[in-house]
Amino acid sequence: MTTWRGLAAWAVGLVLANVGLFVWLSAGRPDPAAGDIVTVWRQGARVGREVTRRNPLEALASEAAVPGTTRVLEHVSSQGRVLSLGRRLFGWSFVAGRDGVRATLDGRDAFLTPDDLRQAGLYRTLGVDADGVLDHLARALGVSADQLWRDGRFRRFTVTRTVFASAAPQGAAGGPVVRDATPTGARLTEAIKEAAGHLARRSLPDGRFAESADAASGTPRPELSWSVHAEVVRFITAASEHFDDVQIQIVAQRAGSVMRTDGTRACGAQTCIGDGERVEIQPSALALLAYCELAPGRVGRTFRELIAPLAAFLRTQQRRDGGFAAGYDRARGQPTNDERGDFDADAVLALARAHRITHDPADLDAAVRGLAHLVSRPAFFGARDTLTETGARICEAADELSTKAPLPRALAFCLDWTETGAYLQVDGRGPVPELAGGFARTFPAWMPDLRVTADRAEGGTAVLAAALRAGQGYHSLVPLGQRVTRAFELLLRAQLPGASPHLLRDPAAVAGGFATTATDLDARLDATAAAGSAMLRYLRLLEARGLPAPPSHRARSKDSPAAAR
Amino acid sequence: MTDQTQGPGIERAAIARVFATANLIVAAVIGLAVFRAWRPRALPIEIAAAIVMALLVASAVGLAARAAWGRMVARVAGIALLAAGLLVTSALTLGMTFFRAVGGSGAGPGSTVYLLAVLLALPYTLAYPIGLLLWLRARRPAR
Repeated sequence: MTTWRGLAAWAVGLVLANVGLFVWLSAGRPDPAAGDIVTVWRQGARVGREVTRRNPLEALASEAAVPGTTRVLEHVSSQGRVLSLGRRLFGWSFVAGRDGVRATLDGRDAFLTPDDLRQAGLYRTLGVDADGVLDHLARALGVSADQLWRDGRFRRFTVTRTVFASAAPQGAAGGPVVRDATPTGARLTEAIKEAAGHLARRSLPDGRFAESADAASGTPRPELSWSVHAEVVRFITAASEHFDDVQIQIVAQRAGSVMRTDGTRACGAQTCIGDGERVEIQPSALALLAYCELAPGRVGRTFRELIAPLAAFLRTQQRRDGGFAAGYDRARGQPTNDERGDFDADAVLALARAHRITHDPADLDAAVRGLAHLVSRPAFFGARDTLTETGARICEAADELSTKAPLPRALAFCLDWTETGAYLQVDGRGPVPELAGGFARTFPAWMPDLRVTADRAEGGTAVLAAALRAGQGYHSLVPLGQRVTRAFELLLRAQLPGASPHLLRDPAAVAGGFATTATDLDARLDATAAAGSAMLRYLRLLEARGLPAPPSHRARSKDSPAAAR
Repeated sequence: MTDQTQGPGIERAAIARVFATANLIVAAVIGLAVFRAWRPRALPIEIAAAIVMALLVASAVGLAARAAWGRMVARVAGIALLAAGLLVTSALTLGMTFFRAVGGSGAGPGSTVYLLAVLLALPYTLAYPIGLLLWLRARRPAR
């Protein structure tokens, strides 16, 4: 009897705790004394801030008159409490991309608006960087972060924002330009060219790519991996071939050459790509994909010769069950014992693509066995996992092989993967409606990861193509098509400089790029290449289905970024 | 429908074997949930899960072998599993409420997914240990 009483007390207590927590945390009306927040921005830096209860249009008028200045009026529309039992819980008490932070200490207020948080890079996938927020607020209030944490009172708030852009200085970008986010052929073409142009601008004279320089602070990043390099080469080669852009082709060939001269290693009797004693197979697989794109080009023979040796290396890494050893130990001269699903998927796609060039039955057989291995395992027991974005690459491989060696269970796996992935897609009912369509990496699915969104959009496009090819009914694919379309809509909205160019020090430098998330401002090579590659695949599908798409044309404009070099 | 030719001792042994098997299944489910399905790795959760799994496996062996210590270990395992169940259910529901309150009505993976998670956890972490503890109490010799 005591046990039952205890359980009943726990159940009642839990219900009361949940109701209490919900009521206490839910956002309510803003403090009427708070006023409107007026901020002026110039070249990505905040140069003025006034919190006013008067007519906000009169605030900071003289600062706003300077050319190149953007004045932003943020009206606090709701306010809520936050949990400050610990810094992690405090950080989770905010919605990234939507909430601002207000701190009150000794009757004085300090605000970090959503613009401030974006510009300072303080949003995280789940909430905000608590330590960074405390540092910024403490500086504004002239106290230490510890004192503010101990004695301050914190609230979250949402805003409605109005942006007033003044006249731009000569040669500089003006205010935000809202562009259509519908993934039509014309819009995709524009976005792909911008993405390829952005990557080409980051090409260095030696053929490597400059790793992302933080748009806000100019913080340098670590050296680029061969995997990212190969992904960039693959995309810009494909884009330059599709649009017949000679300038970008030259950049792609230079980047492909440096991978051959500086990245190629001997792995036993084979050739591989990588650095160090332990070489993983992913760079080799991605380099093989890049060479396959470069091979049909004008000077493709140089790269065609590299395809067969790399494919041979991947085949020697393959095990009897179809999986691949994740690495090669160059010191011991043998494959390592581990396996990774994402590496397997890259290797399968690379071998399938290589077969187009080599026509070697061994490459096709290895790809088919690898794909069968990937889609045959039960979930959670190995490489197969319908929840992660690895499925995207698996489905690209399934699409590639569907014309040569169709595998019905691969298509079944891919349809299953797209259904499971729908749980991670942010919908319009979420806390930040502008982020709808993106895919989160994990639960709770609030903040889309643009790399993951691009991968899933590309995978979804591949599934659509493979399913249509397999004779699947058009109507049964409509829900998947809608999910893919929404993902591309987010990508088009998130392409930099986006809707807030006033937060960027140099909007032109990041134009065309993609950041890690929709609230970041730092264009990343991998995210840009992935988004560009996904958009190009979708454009090709539209063109193949006979839907409107602009004709390809040779791009030789003198303002081409590569031409300017 | 009990076979009248079988004595109560044989019946008790059969139920003990059923609970021994169920303990192994629950241990496997916990292992899969914590070490395979749940991606964020957290040492406290893994240590707690490992202890509960070890207790369940030990009690399964004890119950199957009809060892004297089997009932004691099964009781400890049942209490540990029940405590873990109360914690997991509380954390899941409070977590859902927290994110709903912060993000608004459309936030997160939706109440269906959370409800599913709670319903998946409840049979193993609340219903089963309660059943196990009730059976052990019924088997306690009269004083």
